[in-house]
Amino acid sequence: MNKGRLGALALLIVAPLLIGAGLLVFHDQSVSDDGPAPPPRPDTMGVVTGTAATAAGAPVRDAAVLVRPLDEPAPAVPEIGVRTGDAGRYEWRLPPGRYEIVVRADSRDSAPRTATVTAGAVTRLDFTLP
Amino acid sequence: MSPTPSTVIRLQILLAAGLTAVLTSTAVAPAAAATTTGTPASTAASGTVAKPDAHGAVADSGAVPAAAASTALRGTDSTRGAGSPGGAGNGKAGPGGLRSDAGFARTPDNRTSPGIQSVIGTDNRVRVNPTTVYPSSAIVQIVRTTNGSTWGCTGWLYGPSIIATAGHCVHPGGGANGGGGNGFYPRGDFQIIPGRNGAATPYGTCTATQLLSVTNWTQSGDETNDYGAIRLSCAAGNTTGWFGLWWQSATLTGTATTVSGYPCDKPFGEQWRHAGQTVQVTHDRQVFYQNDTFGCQSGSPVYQTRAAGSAFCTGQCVMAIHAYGVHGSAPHSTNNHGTRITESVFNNLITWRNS
Repeated sequence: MNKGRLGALALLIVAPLLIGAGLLVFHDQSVSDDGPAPPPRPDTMGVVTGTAATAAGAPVRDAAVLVRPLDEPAPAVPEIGVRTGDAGRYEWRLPPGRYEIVVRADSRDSAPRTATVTAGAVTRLDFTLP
Repeated sequence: MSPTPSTVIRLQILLAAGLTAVLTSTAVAPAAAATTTGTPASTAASGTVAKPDAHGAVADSGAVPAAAASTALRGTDSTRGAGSPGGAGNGKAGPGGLRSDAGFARTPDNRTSPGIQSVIGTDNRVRVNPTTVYPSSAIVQIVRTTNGSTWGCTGWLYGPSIIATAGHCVHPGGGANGGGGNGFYPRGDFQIIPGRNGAATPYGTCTATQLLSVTNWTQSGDETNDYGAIRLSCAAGNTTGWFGLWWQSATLTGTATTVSGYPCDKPFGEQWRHAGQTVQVTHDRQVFYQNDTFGCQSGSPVYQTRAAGSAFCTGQCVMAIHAYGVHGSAPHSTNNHGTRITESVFNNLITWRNS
C-alpha cells in the first residue's frame, strides 16, 4: 500500500474518532428531579448577605442592593437584581472578587461598603440608611 | 510499505471504534421530535442541516419535555400579537426597528455609581407607560422571594402560558443548588407579573408550575447557554399577546435592537425600554448591543419589529435573551449582551412551549 492510500485510510479512521469524541464532549444529558440529584460540587460563587436598617434600627424593606465590581477585568455578574425583603434582609450570589455595595431606598443611599467575595464562603455586610 | 495483516486488523478495529463513537454520541441526543408547525431545517434559508440539540434540556420537575431533534425547525414560529392565534406578531409596533449608530461603539460609563455598568454612556431608557399596549404587555416582571430576600428578573411571553428568561433567573448555574427541585430555585418562590406598571398589575399575577433550562447552564454555568423558561399557572398570553422569535445563521450585526424590562434602579415594577440601537457584534451563541439595561433586566427580550414579508418572523420578534452587562474583555466589556437564539435554543424553547 502506498503512502497516499495509507494517508487516506488514516484520515478515514481518525475523522470519525474526532467527530465522535467532539460530539461526546459537547453533548449534555437531560436530567430531572425524578432522577438522582446532581452530585454536590464545590460552589464557585460566594454569598454576601446582611440587612438594611434605619439608624433607629427599623428594617428597610424593598430597597435595591446594588453591586459594582472593583476588579479589572470585571467578572461576569448576571443582571439579576436583589432587593431587601420584609425584614430588610438581602442575599447576593457573586463570583469571587471585590465589590462595592450600596443599598438604595427612595433615593436614599447607604454609605458604600466593600465586600471581598470568596468561593463557597458567606460574607456578612449590614447597611444603615439615612 | 505494505501493512501486515495484523496492521490491517488494527486499522479496522480503530475504524469500528470511531464509527461506534459517532453512533453512540448521536444516540444519546434527545430523540423525540417536537410536534410543531415549523418547517424542517433542511428547507431553511440558512441551508443548515438539522441537528440534535446539544444543550440537554432540564426541568425542576421530572417531566423533562422531549427535545426537538431530527425535525428541527427553522426560525419561523407561529407568533401572535394581541388577540389572534396563529398570526404573526401582529400587535401594535413598538419603537423598535429604528436603525442608527451602526458601528458606533460608545465607551462604558465611568462607573461612578454602583450597578450602572450596564448603562452605556447616557442613560437612554424611557419608561413604558401604559404597559397594556403590545408588545409591552407581553413583557413580565419576575419576582422571587426566598428566605426573606427578593430577586428580580424579566421575562417575555412566547406562548399563552410560558415565558423565556435568563437561565440564572431559574437556576444558579454551574452545578450549584438553588434549593428547589433538581437544583433549580424553588418554583413556589416565584411570582410572574405580565405587563406590570408600578403598583398596577393589569393582567394579574401568575405562579410558576415548571422551571426549565439546559445542562450547559445548570451544570456547566456556561454564560453562552444562559437561558431558561418558566411555565405559568395562568394563560396570560391569551390576553397580552406574545412575542415571536427566530434564529438565523447569518450575522445579526447591524440589525435593530430594542430591550425592555423591569430594572431595579427604578421604582420596583416599572417597565423601561431602550430602542433604536443595533447589534454591534454577533458571536455564535451571544449577541452584543448598546441598549442600556440594569440589574433585574436579565431575561428581557432583545427584539425588533420586522415588517410583513420579512424572512422567518414578522411583527415583534426576539433574537436574544438579555443576560449580562459589561464585564471582562471586549466585546463583553464594551457591550451589554444576551444569549442568542440559535437553532438549538429555538428548538428547546419551542419544545418547552409545545409540550
